[in-house]
Amino acid sequence: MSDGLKLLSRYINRVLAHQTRPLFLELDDALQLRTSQGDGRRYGFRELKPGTPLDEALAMLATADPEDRTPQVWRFVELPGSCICHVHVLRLSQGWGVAMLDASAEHAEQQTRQQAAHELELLREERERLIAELEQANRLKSEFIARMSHEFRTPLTSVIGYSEQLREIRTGDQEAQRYLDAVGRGGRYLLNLVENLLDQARIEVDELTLNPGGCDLHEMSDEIELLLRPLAIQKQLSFAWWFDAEIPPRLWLDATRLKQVLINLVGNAIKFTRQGGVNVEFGWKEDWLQVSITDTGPGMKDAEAAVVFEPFRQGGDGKRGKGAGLGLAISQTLVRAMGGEIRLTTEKGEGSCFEFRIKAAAVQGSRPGSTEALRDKRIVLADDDTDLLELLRLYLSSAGIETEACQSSEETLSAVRKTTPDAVILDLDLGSDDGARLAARLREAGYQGPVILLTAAATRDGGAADETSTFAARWTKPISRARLIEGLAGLIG
Amino acid sequence: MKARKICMIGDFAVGKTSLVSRFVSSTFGERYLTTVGVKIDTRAIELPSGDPLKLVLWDIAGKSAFARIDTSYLRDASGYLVVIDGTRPATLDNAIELQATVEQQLGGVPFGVLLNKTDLQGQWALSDDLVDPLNARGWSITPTSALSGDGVEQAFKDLGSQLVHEL
Repeated sequence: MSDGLKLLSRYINRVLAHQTRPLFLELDDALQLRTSQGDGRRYGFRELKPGTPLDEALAMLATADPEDRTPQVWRFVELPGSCICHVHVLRLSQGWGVAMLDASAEHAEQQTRQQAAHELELLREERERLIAELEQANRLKSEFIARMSHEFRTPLTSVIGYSEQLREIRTGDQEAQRYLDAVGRGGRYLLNLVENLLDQARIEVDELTLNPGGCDLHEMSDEIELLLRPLAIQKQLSFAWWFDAEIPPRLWLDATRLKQVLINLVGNAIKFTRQGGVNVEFGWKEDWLQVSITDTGPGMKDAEAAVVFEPFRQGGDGKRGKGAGLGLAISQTLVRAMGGEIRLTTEKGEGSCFEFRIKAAAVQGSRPGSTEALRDKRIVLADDDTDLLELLRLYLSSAGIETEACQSSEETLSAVRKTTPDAVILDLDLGSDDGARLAARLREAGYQGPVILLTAAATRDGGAADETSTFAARWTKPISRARLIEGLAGLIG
Repeated sequence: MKARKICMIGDFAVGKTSLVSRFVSSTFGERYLTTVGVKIDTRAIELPSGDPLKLVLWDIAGKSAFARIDTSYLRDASGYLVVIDGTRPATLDNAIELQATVEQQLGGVPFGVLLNKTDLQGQWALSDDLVDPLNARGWSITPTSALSGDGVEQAFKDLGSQLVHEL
């Protein structure tokens, strides 16, 4: 080695020694000190005289294998009373050689870095845990709402259906007509509220489904008119529907969903408008249906309009109206699900205009079945709700259809074997029995006719059999007489 | 006095250092201070036979995405304690991996598994479904709390007794 390199080597050794303050120890096999060099106090040694026992201070040597002569290096060792050090251990022919190098500065730097990283990681884990808990709680809430809403549907079908039946029977009694109108309105309002709650819950658990089919906009507007006109009259508002001449007679869309959106938007417009009126306009171009609902209501400030589509919010003039504040949020989700977007134009004091468009191809060559052809057809009904069975029987008998009502799987199987009906309408939840299994058993028994599912469950149950292949149609409760008859006409008319 | 080396292993922040502090000096620090490298402590215990045994405890820096276990610390260990944080299920999965790594290096030396932080019952996240597979492996599992001291003394002493059987 040249003189220059020797000089450099001595210089570096001095620098390293200054930084690491090494302590060199030589111990015998009993871990008593033979000799030492360096500052022992830095490493927690009060005195380092030959013969000093170090088995306590250097306890790690007490468990080291004396037969293993591989040099050992332990980095960042923290011993009681010592600075943090790197420890090098050499097995000597007799005893041990130990070098301790101060690593406090390096340790402090690493610890700061790792402490921050670990604390961040713990926060991240905590955040994930809380998010999972919240999601679970939200899911349970949504499932609960969905279950309860479903429970409301069957009795509401009876309330609305029987009030309509009574209305037809008591045509001469004006007072009874008024009362029955009120019952019907209340029932439909409650049903709309339940539908919104149910949909919000379904949206939150990603179970929203569309069931497109042929739809006559004029028929739909008549149904909505029947529901909302009384309130418009009561508030002395003008209320008008406008249809572009280009609109095809029937459009392919989910009529239930579009109706729901319209009831929400038009219902809101009437609810919040004090004077003037509400106009609903339909246009159609290149397979898109365009709808606008314009009112002369109070309008909204920008800040109100910005949050109006959020769930459980209510816009308008800030006064809380009836309802859950879900209508607009759900309408937006439904319109998006139908391929479109909803837009609000509003100004405080100048009224509001909601516009949206959805995909709606013209239905070509659609030929609805003949309701007249239903006369003398035979239908087996299976539902565990006797009130609903009676209502369905009334609806069907008005079209001249013969019915047989059953409340269990066995009863239904027996009735089908006996009468070979033109169709079977059954509930998915037949009390203790499973409607889907019953449908499969009907097929096994050789029944070839259409089996129709009429259910209060708005979502397709993942646990149930594949409905698409099992059932000829899936209808949701509550069902109107017109829909029931028209649906049957399409299948067996 | 005979001495035996025991290593503490597990994920970061599962409570290894707190368990050693509780066992060695009956103290508990609320603040989490991550271990870098290894802390070495000792405590003598009395074996069921009445003989004393010095436990040399190597509290090894926990495993994390930012720090791997330094296996050089495991050398000459007579046994080890695998620590799991009962409020963080991921530390159980990592404990299984770590145990396999340690066993590869040390062979079949005695070890115990500590389900730590039993004082945090409200946040406890280890269901029977998660713990049963550990029992099925025949592992000795002790619920512990470094905060209250529950189970700590027993866990170290049980392992200490097993080490003497190995003598």
